Amino acid sequence: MSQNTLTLQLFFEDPIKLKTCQLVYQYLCADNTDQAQRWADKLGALSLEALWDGEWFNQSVTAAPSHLVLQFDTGTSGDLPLLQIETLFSHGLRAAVMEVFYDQVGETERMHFDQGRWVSRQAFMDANPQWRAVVEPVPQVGEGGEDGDADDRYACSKDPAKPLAVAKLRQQEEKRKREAREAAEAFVEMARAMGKSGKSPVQGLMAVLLLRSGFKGLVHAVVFTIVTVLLFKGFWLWMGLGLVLAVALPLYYMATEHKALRGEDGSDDGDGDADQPGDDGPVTVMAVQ
Amino acid sequence: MLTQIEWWGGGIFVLGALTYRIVMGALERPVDGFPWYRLMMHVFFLAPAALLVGYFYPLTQPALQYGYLALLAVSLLVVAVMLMQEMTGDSGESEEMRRSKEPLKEDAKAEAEDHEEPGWLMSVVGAVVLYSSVLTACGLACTKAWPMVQPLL
Repeated sequence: MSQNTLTLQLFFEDPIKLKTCQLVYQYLCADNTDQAQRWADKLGALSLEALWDGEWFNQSVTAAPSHLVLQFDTGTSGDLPLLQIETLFSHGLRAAVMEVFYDQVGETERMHFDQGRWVSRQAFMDANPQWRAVVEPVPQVGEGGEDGDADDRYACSKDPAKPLAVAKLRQQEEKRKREAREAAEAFVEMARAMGKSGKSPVQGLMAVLLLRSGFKGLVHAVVFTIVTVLLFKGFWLWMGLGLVLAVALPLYYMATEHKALRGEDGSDDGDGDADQPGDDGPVTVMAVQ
Repeated sequence: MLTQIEWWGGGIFVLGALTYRIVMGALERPVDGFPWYRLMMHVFFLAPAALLVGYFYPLTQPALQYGYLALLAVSLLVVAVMLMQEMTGDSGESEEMRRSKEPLKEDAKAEAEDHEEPGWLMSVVGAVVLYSSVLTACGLACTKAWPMVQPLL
């Protein structure tokens, strides 16, 4: 079964917070929630849910003098631990680096957090140069590592265009997930309705996309007509032009959309056609052989 | 009608808006540094648009007349600079447009290489056609401004 492996490197403002948090996570890893709650209270956190997700597994925690390393696995659809990072930032966390290994696709992604904000890798290193050696250790000679390789290894950082508060990032992620779920549900509903009426869901989806393009063209034409009639003299000229556009724009947008949709299939069709007799000479010869 | 703009003025506005959209859409934002060329392009389109609006209104107050003349001067300067850049071929726009179109043109790259670079005359003709709305607006503004300038001479 595929899973995501997460590694959190947590840097605290002072050693006491680091030790307290270490105890919380060590007890949580050992399933001793009573003791974990006791230390979480000392940390100032309201509940363990804000520090831990019950769906995490294969968890482990290791402590170094400067930071804490928390590792765990989640399901492929599991959320990023943004709520936990947000809570920790309000209870003594100064900076963090999150590494996610997506087992399903074999890709790694890194995110850097500093002072309660998601920042770029460069901004993180500029603000915390003392931790560069910790978060991006250079492999020893013989481990197959050179400087270039080390850079490539850590070049998988997902950087924001500008620093973004973790709370805002979490809200955005939640909104994105909710919208994706709603879109998936809508598609399943539509596919079900199409199945009942004996039509292909793909055809249905294409029809919806074409209708949307047509509607977009109509809206553009209406907006154009309203703006020009209101701003410029020549009422009947702009009305006439608007009428022409109300016919032409939806048709143009629908034709473009149809071409784009067909184009994706078309490339496959093209390959398929290439094997048919009557195409280019060399291909026909190959097919005969 | 909320304005005094004639139907043919509206036609120039619509053409200008289309050109503005096409040109600005083809320009890329520079990765670092201030986007001077984009700013200049905004001025190149928006200043003549303001001039064209002013063309349809009587400018009775001296302050409005001086403002109109100043705007016309800025517009003519920017238009002249842009056309010079088009002629010399070292415009940031050309570079950026070329760069932005590169991914789209990859398939047709070999075909494009076969074609020769257009001469400076063709470049000027292309620029004049593309920016005809801006040039028309500037021309109309000049005719309106001429009686204002005459007493100053």
